[in-house]
Amino acid sequence: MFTYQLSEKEDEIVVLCEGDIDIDAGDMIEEDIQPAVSLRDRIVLDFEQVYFVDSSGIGLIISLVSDLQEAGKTVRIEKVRPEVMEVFELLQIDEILGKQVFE
Amino acid sequence: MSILIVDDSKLNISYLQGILERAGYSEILTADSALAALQILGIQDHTAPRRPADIDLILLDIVMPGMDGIAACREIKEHDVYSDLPIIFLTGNRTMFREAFNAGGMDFIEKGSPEFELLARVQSALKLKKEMDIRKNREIKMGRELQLAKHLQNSVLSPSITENSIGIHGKYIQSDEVSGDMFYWAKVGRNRYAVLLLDVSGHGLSAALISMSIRSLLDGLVGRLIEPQLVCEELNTKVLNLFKNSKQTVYFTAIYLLIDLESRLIQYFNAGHPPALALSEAGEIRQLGGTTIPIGIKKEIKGNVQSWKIDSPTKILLYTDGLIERPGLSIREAVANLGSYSQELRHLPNEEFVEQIARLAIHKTDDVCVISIDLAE
Repeated sequence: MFTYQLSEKEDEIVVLCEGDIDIDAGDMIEEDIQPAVSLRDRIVLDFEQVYFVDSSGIGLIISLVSDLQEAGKTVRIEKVRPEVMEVFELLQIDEILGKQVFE
Repeated sequence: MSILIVDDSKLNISYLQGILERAGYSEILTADSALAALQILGIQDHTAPRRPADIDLILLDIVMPGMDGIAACREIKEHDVYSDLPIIFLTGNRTMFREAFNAGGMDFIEKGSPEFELLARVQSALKLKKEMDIRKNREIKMGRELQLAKHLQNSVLSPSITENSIGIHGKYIQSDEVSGDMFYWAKVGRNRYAVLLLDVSGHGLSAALISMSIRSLLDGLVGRLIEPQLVCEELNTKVLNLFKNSKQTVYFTAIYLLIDLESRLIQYFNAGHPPALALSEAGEIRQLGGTTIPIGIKKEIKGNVQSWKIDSPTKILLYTDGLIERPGLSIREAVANLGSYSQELRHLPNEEFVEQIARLAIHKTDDVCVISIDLAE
């Protein structure tokens, strides 16, 4: 089960993600989150409440972040839990999306 | 669609039959007792036939001598072949409703109700039955298709190799679905062997489609390019091209080894795959960790090929993440545990070794591939 909340700040929008990111999160990420954040220049994905990401979830994150980057946005992924970070490291997400995403 | 009317009163039967026939229902069977009804359904000594009788709805009187309608309903509903068969009770008295519904009745018709009510209830029960039949048939057909797809997917996996100085065995444990795990190996020169294991992102049919389309490239691609760097780059280009019109990110993780038995040199790339484990006779465990990003994501991919020379008999264990993945648990720890466990089993003959490791996957819902390459002295 995946849910999210948007919190607008002065210069950025924060997406508080909660739950597992897998194929079931697809519609929400593509149809709700992506359009909602596309109007802002700086986007933060808060992963503090994300406990599990599977291979489909990785695909969704890569698509989302690289689409936003291509549109000239700055994206950061924050507060990644250690067990999720291990998956990111295995797949070398920082190589794919750029190290600045995790800084 | 056919309707069975069960009632001990001949008068009632002919009354109901008359209404239904006038409304255009032509296939009507009748029974004057619960036992006669069970006989029509082929139920005998609490055993139902493998295929249900051709009945789509039962109108069942509750109060009958011998077995009453509620007991009959309970008996019929006990059998899986009749679990979807709607039963409508005929009754003159509401006091038995609770029991009747508990027994598996779907609806009721009070005796003396107007004709249109009877017909409306019959019509809606038959409509539901028809929809359930369609859905059930579709499920059966899909199930058969899935079995066939699983069989096909299995049939393209490389057969074991058992030679003096090298043994390669693999095992693919399929879940209920098809999925995107696949292994491949080939002899690519006098003393050289190429081994590839890949895991397409996602699960189910789409992952299986992708893995099969990649499989069709492998004989040509691996046989022609052989070198890890080149194989990696070419796979990446091919996948990007093949799925360039898909809006989904299509990628796979892979590990590819090129083994030269003469020079004892092993070269590999690991594209985002969990580390393979090289278990030496001396007890050393080498993790063949990631060298590059997964395949199919970026136009540019650096192969970053690694290599090492083996100097004693070694088993190299490759696996897909289904073997170690548990939500919320550390992959690093799981890999370390797998390492020490497999080191303990290292002495087993290769095929048995693979079997034993694969047992770790028994309770998994994900597909799992396990390969072991046994390099003798």
